[in-house]
Amino acid sequence: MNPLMDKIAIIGYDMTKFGDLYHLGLGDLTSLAITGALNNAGLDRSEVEALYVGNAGSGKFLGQEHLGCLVATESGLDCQSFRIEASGASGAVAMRIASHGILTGYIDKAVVVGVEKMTSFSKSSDTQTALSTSLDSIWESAMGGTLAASFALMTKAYARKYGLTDEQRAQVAVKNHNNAQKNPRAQFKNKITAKNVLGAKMLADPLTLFEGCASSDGAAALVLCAPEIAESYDSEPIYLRASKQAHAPLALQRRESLSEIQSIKKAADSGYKQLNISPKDISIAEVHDVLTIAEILAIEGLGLVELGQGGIATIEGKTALDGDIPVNTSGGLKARGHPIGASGVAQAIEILEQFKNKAGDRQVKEINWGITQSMGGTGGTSVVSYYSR
Amino acid sequence: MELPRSMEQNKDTSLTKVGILGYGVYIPKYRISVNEIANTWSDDGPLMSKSINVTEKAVPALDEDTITISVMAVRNSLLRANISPVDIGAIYVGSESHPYAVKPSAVTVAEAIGATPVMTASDLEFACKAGTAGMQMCFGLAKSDEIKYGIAIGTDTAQGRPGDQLEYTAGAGGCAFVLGKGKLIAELEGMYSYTSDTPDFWRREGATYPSHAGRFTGEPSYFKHTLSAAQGLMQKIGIKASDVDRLSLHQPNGRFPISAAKKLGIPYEKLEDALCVVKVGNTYSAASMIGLARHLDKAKPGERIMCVSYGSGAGSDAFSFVVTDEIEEVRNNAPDTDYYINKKEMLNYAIYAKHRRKIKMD
Amino acid sequence: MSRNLVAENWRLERSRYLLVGNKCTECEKYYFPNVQICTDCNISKLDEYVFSGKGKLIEWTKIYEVAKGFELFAPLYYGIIELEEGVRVAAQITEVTDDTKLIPGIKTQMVFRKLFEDGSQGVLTYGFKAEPQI
Repeated sequence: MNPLMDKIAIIGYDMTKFGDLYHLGLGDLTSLAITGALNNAGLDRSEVEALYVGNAGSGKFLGQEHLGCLVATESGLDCQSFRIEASGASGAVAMRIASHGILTGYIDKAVVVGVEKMTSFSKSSDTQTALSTSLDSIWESAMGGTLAASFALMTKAYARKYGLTDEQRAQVAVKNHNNAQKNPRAQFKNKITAKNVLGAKMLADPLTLFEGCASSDGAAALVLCAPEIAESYDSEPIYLRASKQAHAPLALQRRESLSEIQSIKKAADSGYKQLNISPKDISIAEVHDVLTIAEILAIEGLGLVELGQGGIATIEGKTALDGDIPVNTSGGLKARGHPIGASGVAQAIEILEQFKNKAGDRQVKEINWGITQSMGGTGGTSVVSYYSR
Repeated sequence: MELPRSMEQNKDTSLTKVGILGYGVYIPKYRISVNEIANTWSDDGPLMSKSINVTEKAVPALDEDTITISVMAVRNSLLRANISPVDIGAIYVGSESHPYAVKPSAVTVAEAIGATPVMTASDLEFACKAGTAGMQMCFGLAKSDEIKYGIAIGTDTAQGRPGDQLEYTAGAGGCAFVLGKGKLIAELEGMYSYTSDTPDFWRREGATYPSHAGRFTGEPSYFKHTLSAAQGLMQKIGIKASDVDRLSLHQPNGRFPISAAKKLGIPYEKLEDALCVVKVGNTYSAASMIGLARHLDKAKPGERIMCVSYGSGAGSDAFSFVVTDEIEEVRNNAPDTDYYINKKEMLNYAIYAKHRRKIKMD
Repeated sequence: MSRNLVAENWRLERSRYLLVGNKCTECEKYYFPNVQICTDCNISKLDEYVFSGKGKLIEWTKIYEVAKGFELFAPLYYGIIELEEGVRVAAQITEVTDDTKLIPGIKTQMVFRKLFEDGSQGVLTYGFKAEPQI
């Protein structure tokens, strides 16, 4: 067994709508997504050997733990199940763990589902409290810190070092909303302007509400299998070719730099090296734009643009749908929606749709390599995954 | 003939000198003017200000309370006292606005300066003389060699009933004294207290705002106890009014202490440096102590300072101190009282009400 | 906060009130908050160290959307301070009248303030905040 990835086939996928889905419980969301993915793969429930559930916060949002079991029960699966939590990277890490199971030959076929049900809080301060559990709860949150505040500190440090205008940041949100208009799966299909973004209520200076994501419910599922059996399900399977994960200290004050998220670069560099490719080979990217600054830091960490050039590249349209390197053609976390645990998987689904020429008006023409970048909290956990035919 | 040891000690009290080793003040920076309060209640601001001789009062920040103010004052006092926190044997915090009804402010203060765990601590309440009561306790423990050093703190973030006379003066501030034997900056010459059951001002358990008895707070309350304590002290230690170089009295407003000084035959000039109430309001348990601190900021070695507190309910504690040469060595080691009086940011009534939790949140 | 603050606050008192951390006896690395093991040296022999509270501002922001329990204190100034011993901490910045004066590099001093009130019945949490020295 080679611990470095060969490849994992993704033979089926589906996701629910993302949004304020008050009429659907967490079990309902996963049942829908998993059933859709199994149907898409042509796989029967009884064939599923393991279920991997990526979820960031069912305990605090719903008072519900033991999610692996809950999701398996509600989805009619009678198999071993695991709940994986890595804050915003939960879905992506769930994909990695599922892949390990297949690579080691332990199992052949797995279902991965990323899910979050988080819209039940009525006060924004409750949501902020829940999101702050992704930080250091004592030395950041209990000090008054929030997720947006940590990103605001990174924004300011970045701006001081490289220069970054409000408009450059806002363009991330504008672009992603533009892209989402072409995505039937997106939560927000409205066009927004830089003025809308920058005129919105402040979260933490200088980041505004519209630079961040709304709370959202949703589930996204994949069926993964060993490459040897892939073609019996899908004549043209898409493969997960590498999925690298890296660490950065949890609290911002323990990191060497505030203007970079080191874990992104570490994970990305390790992936490029393993696959013997470079950023130039990447055709499309889905990145973790939990706030606008995060996309700017992500595209730099992935090496898609030079350090310090992220804002400029965005405003110059390099990452637009018709740009040199389209980023977040789905609309990103911002416009496609960000049910926290689901995003890591939803990103993969966009890459799959693109590869399979199912992206409609947002289709990117020539795709050789796709990349997804998912992150937990302020980048304490980063997962970078690579896809090809 | 040699007297038994205990009697010897009683006789030679002048040799077992206790006194002040360090002092520290802390006053929050926010202020609201008498005029601003008057405008809210359609009172005549300038007239009110003149009648009480107060222009503005101190308001705590949203994240300040009796505990935080006490810690800041104590830290200043330790900068002057230059002692090791492990030698502190007692800490008393006197206040009528302790954050907890049950759980003493004193333990948090003690922890925050590293004085725990081998020590005693307690909170005190006696309206505006709770801090000086703590001073007496520290002097007693130090004098009997039960402890090496004690810290007495008087701090309040007093609540004023909206629209009431006392809302104009209910301020916030804290003062800490490090007391004991050793390198004294002021020696205690003597103390004397006058106490009775006098219901001039009170707050029932669970009530938000205190109640007071109007004019009754004057002659039978403030004046009776302040004057009796002051006169009793002077008689006890054998001094006359003219022997007092500096005077600090409790200052519920800027008129009562001036009147009391006059009745004692002590000129206004000797009281003036202590009259912080004009600019920061009545800091309740800290009031007479901050007055004493401001005297210590300015006093020359050899000067005699008389400090007389008054707490409603009622009682007065009077002390006489003689300043030593040591004061000049340590006085500048921490910010002086004026540093805090002059550091100020004005608030309007709405923000003041938010700070003082007068707005019903749920 | 839904978690129990009693034990947590008690454990953190010396860190929060007195800025007590520790220092590795081998490599002399400073730790705040204190650690059980110096993971660089893999030893558990560390001496208690009381940080001075002096530091400098690294970066700051003003938080408008605060977490539960901080609503009355909003907006909060919050940032990263580098203590003079070289260790960084996150803290609120207090006594800010004019935030144009908050420039990275300015000196700060830790002061004692109330961090959190657990409703009207719960315990009070105290700790340090950074006061700019300008």
